[in-house]
Order: sequence, then C-alpha cells, then structure tokens
Amino acid sequence: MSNNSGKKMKIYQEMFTGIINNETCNVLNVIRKNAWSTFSAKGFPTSRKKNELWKYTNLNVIEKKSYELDYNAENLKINIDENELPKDKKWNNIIFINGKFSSTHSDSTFETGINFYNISDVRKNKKLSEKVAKIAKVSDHNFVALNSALFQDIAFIEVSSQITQPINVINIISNDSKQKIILPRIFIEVTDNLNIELIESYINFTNKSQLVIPVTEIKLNPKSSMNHFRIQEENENTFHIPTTRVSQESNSKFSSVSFATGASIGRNDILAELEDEGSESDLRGIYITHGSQQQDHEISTSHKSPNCISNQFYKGILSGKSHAVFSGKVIVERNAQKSVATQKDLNLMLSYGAEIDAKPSLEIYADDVECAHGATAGHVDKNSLFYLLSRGLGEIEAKSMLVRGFAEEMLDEFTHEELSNFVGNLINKKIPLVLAESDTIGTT
Amino acid sequence: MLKVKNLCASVADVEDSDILKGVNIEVNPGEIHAIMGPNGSGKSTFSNVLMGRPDYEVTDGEINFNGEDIIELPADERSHKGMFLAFQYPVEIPGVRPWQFLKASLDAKSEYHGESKISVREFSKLFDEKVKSCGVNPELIKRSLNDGFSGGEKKRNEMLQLEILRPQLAILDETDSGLDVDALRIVADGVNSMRSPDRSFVIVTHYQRLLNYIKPDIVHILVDGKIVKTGNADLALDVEKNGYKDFQ
Repeated sequence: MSNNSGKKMKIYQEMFTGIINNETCNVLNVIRKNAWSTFSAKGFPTSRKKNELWKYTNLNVIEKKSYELDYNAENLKINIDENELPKDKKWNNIIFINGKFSSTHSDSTFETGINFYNISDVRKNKKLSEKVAKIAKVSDHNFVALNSALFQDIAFIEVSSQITQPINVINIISNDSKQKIILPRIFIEVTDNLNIELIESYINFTNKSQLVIPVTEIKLNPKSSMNHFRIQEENENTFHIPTTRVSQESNSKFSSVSFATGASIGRNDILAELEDEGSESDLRGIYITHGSQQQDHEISTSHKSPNCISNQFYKGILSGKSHAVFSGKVIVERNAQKSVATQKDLNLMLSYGAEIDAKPSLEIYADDVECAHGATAGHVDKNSLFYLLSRGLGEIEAKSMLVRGFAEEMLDEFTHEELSNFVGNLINKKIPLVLAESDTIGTT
Repeated sequence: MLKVKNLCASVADVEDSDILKGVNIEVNPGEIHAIMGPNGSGKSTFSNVLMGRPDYEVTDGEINFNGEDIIELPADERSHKGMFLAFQYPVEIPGVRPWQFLKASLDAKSEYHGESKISVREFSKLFDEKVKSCGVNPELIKRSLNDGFSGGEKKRNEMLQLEILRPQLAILDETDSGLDVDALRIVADGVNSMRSPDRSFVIVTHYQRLLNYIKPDIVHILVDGKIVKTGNADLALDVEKNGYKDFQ
C-alpha cells in the first residue's frame, strides 16, 4: 500500500468509525466489522498483480481523490424537474438522495404486496437484517466490502403478493458543494410465483466528482420472475462501481437490461446464479462512451443446476478516446447438464482512438450443453451512409440515424413507454457528443 | 431533364482507375432509357456517379439535371432536386425504421425547398396506402430497414421508397440482379405505375429480361466505359439473342 493510499485509507477509517459507533443493530454491526476488515486489509483493487477482474481498469484516480459521507442527506430538500427522472405517477416510486431514503420525494403509499423497509426498520427486525449481505458477499470484492461497511441506508423490499406496477428505485445524486462517497444499497426478495418489475436508476445532478458504489441483492424464489431495468446517468467526473448479485431458485426468470453512460469510470458487475433447475437469466445492456470515459461490463452467469437457460447480450457505442471492457463469463458446473448459454458483445467503434477489450468466456464442466459466444467491433460502413444520403438525409442526420439504429434494439427492451422515452432521450443527447469525436464513419 | 456529356470517372483516390471514358446520354421527360452492357463495362459506376457516390471521382464531363450542373452536389441535394437511385443491393440497416426514415427523407426535402413538412397523420396515411399498394408485408416494414428481408422484399421496399419520394428521375442500378420472375414483376409494376409524362427512368441492367416487363423508349449499350450503340427497344432483343460480342 503506498503512502498516498495509506493516507486515504485513514479517511475511510474515520468514516467507518463514525458509522460503527452509531450502529445499533447487532447483525449489521457484525456485517460492517467483517466488511471493514476485508476492505482495510487490501484497499481498492489494483490492476496489477495479475488481477484479472481489474486488468483493464486503473483505479488509482479514485484513490487520489478525497470523498466524504453526506450525513445530512435525509434532510436535503431538492428542487428537481420530475421530467428529468425516469418516473411515472402510476409506478411505486422510492427515492433515495445521496444514498439516503427520502420520504418527502417518495410515494407515501405503495401497492399492496410491496413491503418496503429502510435502514431504521431493518435495524429493528432481525429477520430482515439477517438477509443482508448473504447474496452479495463481503468477500466478493472490495467495493462490496466498502459498501457493506459504510452503507447509510437501504431499500429493503419484500414482494409478497402480485403487483401490477413497477417498483421504481431512483437514486438521485445531488448537492453540488462536496465530493461525496455514496453507497446505495438495495435488497429485494420476490415470493414464489410472482412476476415483478424493478427499475433501478442513478441520476446525477452535480458536476463534482462523486464515488458511487451501489450494491443490489436480488432473491428470486421458485417460479418467480423479475424484469430489471438499470439506468446509469452519472456526470463525467464520477466513478460508478456497482455490484448486482442475483440468486435464482428453481424455474425463476431474471431479465435485466441496462443503459450505461456518463461516468468517468463506470462499471456494471452482475452475477446471476442459477441455483436450481429450470431457471433462466437474460442479461442485456447498451453502453455509450466518448471523451476519456471508461465503461466496464463484468457479466457472469453461473449454471449450478441442470436445464437452465442463460443469455448475455451487450452493445457498445464508443467514440473519442474512450475505453470499454466487456468481460462476459458463463460457468457451467459439472452437474448442470442440458444447459443452454449464449453470449454476445457487439461494438460500434466511431473513432480510431477508442478501445474495446472484449473477453467473452465460457467455462464448461458439464458435457451435455449448448453454448455459443462471440464479440465484434465494427464501423458504420460507407454503403449504409450513402444509402441514407441518397434518400435525402443530410450527413449529420444520416450518421445520427445509423448510430441510434445500432442502439434501437436495446432500447426496445425498455418495455415501458416512459422508460424507453427517457432512455431514448438520453441516447439522443449523447449522439451529437459521440459524433463530434468520430472519425471512422463511412471510411470503410 | 438529364444531360450527360463526355462523363469520365474513376475510383476516388486510385490512380489509373478510369471506368467511365466519355459517356453521353440525354433523357427527356417521360422517357425510359435502358443502359445495357457486359460485366465490368461501368454500368453500376454510371448509376452511382449520377447519384453522387463519393467512392467515385468525376474526372471530366458534365452532368446536367434540369438545366443545372450537379457534379459538385452531394447525394442528399441530388435527392432533394428529384433524383433517386434504386440500389442493386439495398443496404440492411438494423434499428432504422422505414416509417421514420422516409418521414425524415420527406422532411429534409421540404426543408430544402422551404416548404412545410408533411404532418405525421398525413404521412402515416400515405405510408400505409403505399405499403398496401406495393404489396409490402406491413409487419416486416415496422421493424428495420431491409434487415432480414429476402431479395424480393428488399426490392419491394425500394419501390415503396420510390413511390413515397416520387422523384423526377429514377435510376435503377441492376435492380433485377438475382431476382426471380415474381420479384422482377414487383420492380416492373413499380416502374410502370410511376410512369408519367414528367417522370423519367434510367434502367441499368445486364439482361434483357426486365425489359420484357418495362418497355424502354431508348436502349444504350455501354462497353468499356463508353456508349457504343443507341437504339430502340429492339436493340435489347438483339443483345438477348446475340450477347454483347458484336459490340466488344
């Protein structure tokens, strides 16, 4: 550990002392202490020492900055145009600001079937607190450990009967005056046979560098299903390093689609564990980067039982000198016979300076399986461009249409109109930025 | 309408790549011209150069459309001025929906001419009407531009675009290549239904068979970048019978 990181570790140590001294719940106390000892032993992951998970991602920039916890977040009154949030009045809207639940900005009641608890409820109920940090384990990696040691609040949700509208957890990052560390935490469990939708978004209204480390734990009981939508719209100085862990019981189905843009270094780290027979996992997403942004996708599916189906399908649009990593992993364990797994990562390289490191990988220990994988990096070709020009579209409009067209199939996965309009507008705002730094379109 | 004089063109940025070596044709309003020629004669280059494809460089000559020299104009402006190219191989563009694409095309044209844009409702009506009359599968056309379309469906889609954009001059670049008889009829029906005294067609083809369905007024034989013979529809029948050997 360098002197610098030693000094920075002191800052996190102080945060931890503040948190642990005020932790009234014995169960959380144990989790936090265990998490802190894991984090403090190694600090932030490094890209050195053959650390495959962080091979392409240099986190030194994070270590160099100082962040502080926002202790007053629950008292924050913010004035935000509702149109700037992925929100619909019909949905069950749960709002967190800087990592703390905001009762003022959230809906006052939710649909019957949704049991929502924040951290003060969880502290009082051992049955709830004992579920925390079981799916996303502290030992997983050090960002999970850091979140587990320091998280200030939680969206703890149990869905006990069928609901009709999505659960919409919006994480707002606000209050521009400080560089903050924000540790959003979600736990959601879905009872057998129920089908639900979860929207999870991170919307940053500040310009300062923030360190956002979310942890999301999802438990799907037998025959339940979840459509999960994730939106990351951070500012370009922010580091967004989330972890999503999904535990799937028999015949459950998890479908997730993510949209990632904005952050200086952004990551989307999902592990779906197909624990029991007949479960399905479908992970998709689109990422758009420009300037010097980096966006990683660390996507893993673990087939632990027979007759499970999984799919990973991601698309990237890269421009400027930006960098993306797709590290997709499918593990098929020895007894997971009759597994079907597909994996695909397609990238549209808009500039010669952009870089993609795509590593789709299959680790197969069973013999009766169907698996396929692939990754591509391509350009917008001159034939497509000329086709649109010949129909009267101007050069900029034609290029925009081609870039947007590449994203369109992922946009279709955001199946609610409000959501797909929201993401569509974010994409439209990004297109002029990526085109301004593009030098490959129509050159091949 | 279209006057091409001594048109010479080569592949852009490649030395000694002359393909067109002095082409002359004149197309009057309402006429259908067929340009026939053996492989490698420059037929496809000719249609692409007319539309302003940046892969080719005009090294000499003139292209005059409605009294204006258009050589310096980019493809989108040529389109606004009333030119249209039906592609030999229409490009597959996933994620671009034909409805939006054609609305954007018409809007760009209206904007260029300082006219008001067609309303969404009016355009939808026109689009649905033309989808029906061109026999385009309405489910397929909702999805993506040509993506996953069969050869015949792509050509139907080209005819749909032709009918919605209603150009003054339509150039068909070997649009019959690889088509079965049914698909040939689609193209022919499209052209015949669009025939009018103020609209002209330049049909570039290797084979005479498309001309069984579309009767040209004038037939040109293009060999080695030059028009070597011009005649009436009977000239196409000669080619069918004797091939191109008499012209080479």
